[in-house]
Amino acid sequence: MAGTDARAIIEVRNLNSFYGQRQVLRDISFHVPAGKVTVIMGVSGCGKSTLLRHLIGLKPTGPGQIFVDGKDLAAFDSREMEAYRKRIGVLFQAGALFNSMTVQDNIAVPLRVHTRLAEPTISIMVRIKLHQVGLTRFGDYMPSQLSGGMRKRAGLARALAMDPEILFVDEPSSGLDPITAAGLDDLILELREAMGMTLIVVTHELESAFRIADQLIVLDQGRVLAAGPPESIRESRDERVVQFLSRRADERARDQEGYLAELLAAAGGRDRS
Amino acid sequence: MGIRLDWNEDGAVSVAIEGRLDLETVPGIRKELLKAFKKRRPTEVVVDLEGIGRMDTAGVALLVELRNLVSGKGGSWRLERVSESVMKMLELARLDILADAGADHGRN
Repeated sequence: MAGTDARAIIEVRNLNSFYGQRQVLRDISFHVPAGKVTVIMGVSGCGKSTLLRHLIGLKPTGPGQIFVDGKDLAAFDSREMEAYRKRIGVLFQAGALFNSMTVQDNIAVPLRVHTRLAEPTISIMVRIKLHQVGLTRFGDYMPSQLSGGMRKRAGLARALAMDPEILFVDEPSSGLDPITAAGLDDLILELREAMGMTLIVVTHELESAFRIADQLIVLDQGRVLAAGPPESIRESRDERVVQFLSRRADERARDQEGYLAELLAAAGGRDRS
Repeated sequence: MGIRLDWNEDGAVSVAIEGRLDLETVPGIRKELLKAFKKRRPTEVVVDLEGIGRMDTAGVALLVELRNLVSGKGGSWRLERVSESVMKMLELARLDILADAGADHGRN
């Protein structure tokens, strides 16, 4: 399925996921090849971010399994989970910075907590990371002083602090101008090239997805609609894949909770009784 | 794995680093080098990277720190036998200038 011969560092097997009674993921299976960029894409509400939460161990697996280097993630003891967390970096959609710390202290946190590195070494590493994400002059800023896009880049710098073996990125382009977004795509490709990093990127940006992916997983209403190298997805004749690629949004695929909230707000706004 | 220092009579030293230069090994290698350079101030430092198997950002940071330490005290500094993988890391850190032989010969 992966369209590549690289070793599978993560394997998802028949994963199902629920929020209460509502099923979000349905029988998902795929491999994440080591040292490659896997992009998970789909419209809002298709289950992308939920899948990411499962992969990083934030949401327990329900029916189905996730294997990391052949071992069931659900069977990890606390020591194994801590070791896994040291191997991964995560960039959440909003950056998830500590608001009470400067940007440079945010980036230094994992290095201070998880390594024996001396402060001068940490200080240089933090500046290298800031430079990589284009925030060289903003180390002394508090997160509240940054724009959304800058917070996102600061979050990426922190996710990269430990040079993780596996980097998870949730919607890298959201909130960024096109030039900065393209710069982040370049950085993702550089990380793969220079460090052999395994990247799992969740996005709904088609252009970015096709640019960076070695493997694409297209989710639709909680199911894997298509998976494979970008060229095979592009050439797919599956009606829903074609529809997704031509950006004709399917009403059924909308985030139902968000849709319901919109309807309730609309109903509340018109209530003059 | 580790480092090997080879001093000559003029105070020039060749530092050969073997194995990994990463988050785990940098603290020990840094300590050893700082101790050696405190004991004897080098006039020239040549860092031989041929034996490096893996280098990450911590390794790059150590090279930057060494460069500042040596050239700040009037010594010269250069990298030697930089492998392709090390070069890629330097490029990723936007510091491939460190590998330019002769680009930085301190302030002597």
